[in-house]
Amino acid sequence: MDSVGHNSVTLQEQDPTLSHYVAEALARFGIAPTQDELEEISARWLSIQGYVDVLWKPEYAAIEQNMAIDFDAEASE
Amino acid sequence: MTTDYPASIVDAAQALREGSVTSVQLVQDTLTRIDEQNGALGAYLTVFTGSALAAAESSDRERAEGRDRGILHGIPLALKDNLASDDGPTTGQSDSLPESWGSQGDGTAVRRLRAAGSVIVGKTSTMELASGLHDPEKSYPQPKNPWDIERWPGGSSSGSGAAVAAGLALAALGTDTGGSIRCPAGFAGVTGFKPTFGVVPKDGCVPASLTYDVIGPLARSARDAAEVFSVLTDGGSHRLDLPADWSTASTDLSGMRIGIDRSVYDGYDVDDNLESTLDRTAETLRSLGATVIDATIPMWGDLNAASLFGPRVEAASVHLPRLREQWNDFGRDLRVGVATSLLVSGAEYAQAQRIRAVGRQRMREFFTATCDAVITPTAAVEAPLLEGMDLTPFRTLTMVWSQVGVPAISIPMGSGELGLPLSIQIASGAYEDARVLRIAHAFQSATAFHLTHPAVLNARVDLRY
Repeated sequence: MDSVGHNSVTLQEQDPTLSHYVAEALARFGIAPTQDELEEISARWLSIQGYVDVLWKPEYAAIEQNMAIDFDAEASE
Repeated sequence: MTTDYPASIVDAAQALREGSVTSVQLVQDTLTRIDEQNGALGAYLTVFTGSALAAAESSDRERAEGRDRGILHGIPLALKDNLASDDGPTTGQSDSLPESWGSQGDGTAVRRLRAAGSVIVGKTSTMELASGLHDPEKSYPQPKNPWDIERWPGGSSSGSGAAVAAGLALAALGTDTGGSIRCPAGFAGVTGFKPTFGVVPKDGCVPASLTYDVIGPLARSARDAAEVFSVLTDGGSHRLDLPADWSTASTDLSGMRIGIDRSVYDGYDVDDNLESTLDRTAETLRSLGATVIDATIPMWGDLNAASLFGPRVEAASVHLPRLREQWNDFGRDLRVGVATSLLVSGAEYAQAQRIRAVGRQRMREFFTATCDAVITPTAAVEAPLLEGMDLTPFRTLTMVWSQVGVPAISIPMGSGELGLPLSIQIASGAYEDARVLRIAHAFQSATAFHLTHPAVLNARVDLRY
């Protein structure tokens, strides 16, 4: 368990066919990593997906305008 | 007799004004130190010997004619090599960046430093494009920590932190996307300040993540960082209320409520000295008049988690066209990391941004109702060994403040088990940059941790200052 309470996913736990799907997805972007790289990308992506539920907690997914970024304040001069 | 490099910009500026040293001497001494130590440290990628000495001569000439441009007049500074300058090339420490990038010369931030009379001595090393870990198959150096060259100096403003700690510049510019000023400052035992997002112009900076990147100083004291920051913001425009004269900034923290959150490193490896140094830090702040309270920073874990769906996705938007054509010109960590972020969905990225907006609101409330500023360690451990280094996510405690765009500073607070620096991070609400700097300055007025430098600093024998 890590600091946000989720299990990270190890390479051994991942679907052995995942790197095939990752290769197809990256091909859409015009990228063709090596098999070794695809396996690392797959592992990293699975690790990130271990946190995806945080994004959809009810307090962040309400149907309201709670995304009031102050563009004026954040604009560089 | 062994003497040190000037302890600070403030000290060097005073010596320049008194005439006990010239800018040429100061810059020449800096260049000599770089020549002696850079081979071991890898702090600089490029050194501008000719233009630096010419600028120093010009500075001395102006001073002799009675012109004083301010505290940075004649002071040797360095730039992270993702910042364009008139002096030479900008590589971003990546073979993927076109050689022509940066040929436009100084961006606004660098132009302001130069107008204030500072002397640019060189470009410092970085992680690749301020993002990727060192790839030994590439020709760029792995910067080393001057406290122990077997250890990481932090990143991505690695060379800037190492150079300032080792006395190879009196201050340096860095950039911070998720901790890239504060982390190297923390591991190198110097002061590193990440300003509020948007207050320092970013033109002339190689983008890493567009809604996160900021430019800021790494320096030998908070007062020095404040002086550089004032110049970077042209005296404090854009909602900032900076003192006109930092020399009169109060070190009395009476009335200041400072929170301390020790829960942020729950579950981490923690240095044996961390708790005791935090206790002493709290006592020091109390002795300066502050009320120190336990506090829980809102949304800490969720903002960290959401960061996995943000900065690298934005990096993908910056690098994808070259990634397609130049895959192997990127180091492995960066190309694999950016490719991973291409698999994040648009909905996930948008939702991560929404969480940042909620976080900004919650932090506004926190820095109003609960405390004026909050402290955490910059990292829970000393600088890690380079060999076998595993940067487990969140081992440094800097990303949350980048997620919400508020100012944060890292300053040394003591030593860990091995005698290497441990640092605290002080954060406050958006545009409260002066408050953050003032708390750090007050802490340093009562402590000497920022005056302790790696032993290599004392290796030269020279009676000049």
